[in-house]
Amino acid sequence: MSSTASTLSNLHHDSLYDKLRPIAEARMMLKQIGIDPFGTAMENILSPTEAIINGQHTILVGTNNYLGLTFDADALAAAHETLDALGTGTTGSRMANGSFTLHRRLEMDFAAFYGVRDCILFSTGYLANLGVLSALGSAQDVIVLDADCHASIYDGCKLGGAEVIRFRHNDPEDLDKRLRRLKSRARNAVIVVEGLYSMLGDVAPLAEIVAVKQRYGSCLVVDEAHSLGIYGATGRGVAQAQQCEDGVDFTVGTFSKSLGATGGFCVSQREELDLIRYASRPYIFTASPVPSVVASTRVTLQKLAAGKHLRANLFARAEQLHQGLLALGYQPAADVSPVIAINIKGRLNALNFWNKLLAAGAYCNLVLPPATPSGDPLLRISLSAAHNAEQIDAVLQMFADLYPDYAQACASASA
Amino acid sequence: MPTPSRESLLENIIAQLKQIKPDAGSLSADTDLVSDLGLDSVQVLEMCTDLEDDLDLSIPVNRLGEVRTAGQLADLLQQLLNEAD
Repeated sequence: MSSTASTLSNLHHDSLYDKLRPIAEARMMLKQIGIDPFGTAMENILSPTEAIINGQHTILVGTNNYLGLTFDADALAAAHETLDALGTGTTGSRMANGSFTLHRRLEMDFAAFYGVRDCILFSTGYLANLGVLSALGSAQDVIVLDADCHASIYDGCKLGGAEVIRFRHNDPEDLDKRLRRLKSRARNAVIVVEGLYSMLGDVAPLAEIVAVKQRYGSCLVVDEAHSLGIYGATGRGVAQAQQCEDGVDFTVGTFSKSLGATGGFCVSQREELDLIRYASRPYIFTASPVPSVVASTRVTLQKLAAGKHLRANLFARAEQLHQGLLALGYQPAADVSPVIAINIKGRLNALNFWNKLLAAGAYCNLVLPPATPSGDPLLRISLSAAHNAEQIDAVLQMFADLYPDYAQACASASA
Repeated sequence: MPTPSRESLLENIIAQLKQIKPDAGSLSADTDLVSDLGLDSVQVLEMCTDLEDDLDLSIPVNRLGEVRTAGQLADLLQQLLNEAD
């Protein structure tokens, strides 16, 4: 008996572990068909866009490495130097022994980059949302969030205990309606949206959302995790691109996409930001970011700010792949962006398609409901400034070869 | 506008559930949204968005945590409508 089958048979009804049964069943199904999109191991990383997977050279089109800076020579050198100078970890929270001058320097770098008063670093982007939202939204407060917000945003709201209301995805009119219903409570409501939504690759109508926010005097938090480095003249994100940064109270972001590392931050012009440090359990009770990571991020932040050429290449590749897929008959879920999502009807169809694409030599993400906003499985592609036109042509050829599978999935769904 | 009765709220909920699960058979106040109908969290929230429009109210996500059945959802809606008055 396989370990999964054994685990499944050991899950007795009414036991503590009974709630894990649906997960065990889903894993069993994946084992039976021999496809595991959630446990793919990269055996070797050759470059920001290539890896060895299952012994095979593979083009990576699902890494969120938008600017391709993970092997930047200057960032590597800074990380190596700091690793030797300051060690492998801080072994403590920022509130205790884990605050190095280097952390404060990166905070000042982010504040200067955004042209705001201050910044707080967090150990991951997930913790940045947890830390900021749990501190802003306590039990007597209300948070109004876009329905498609990331799980870290929902979890941050839950940690703080605020009342949570959703508005329809990217719909400022629905946001307006929700705030109107709150009456006098709207003035202290916290609105939370993202810049670029990570699943479908669609961009928030942020200028319109800011206009609604200003009508009610609410507070606006924007998560630019996937838009940092991609949108705006200097890469500050969608708020910069839509020229509405003054209407954003708190901007949250991550090092783990365009900055090529792991960590999170929040910047704000508001002086209350510094107080959030002392009210944020995910800040207080987590070891601070690793020094070598802070050092490499200081370098990649500079490269990001000066990375107009990187953004130009990223969007050229996004346009190439988006138009190429359309020409083949695929239907991307949103307009051109560095995230391209394609709905595939039926779990088995999606699993098979993803697996055939990997076997052909391209790795992308597979996302299954309920993690998808559309309710259908989706193939999620993310591009990098480090991709070249030949790699995108090669990926398009793989999609061309697999088109009959896609067409069959569409046909079986409409039958 | 008078507050709808629990019965009419329940009828509305059952109508929404039948749209999501046309083959579900007979539905009642005791129908469990997850264990009987197999709805996932996103489907429950999407259904709530439609109910919110019909009733011109917002359902706090954190108050949905204790809702298991169609009848419990009707009770929550009635409570929220009374609070809004």
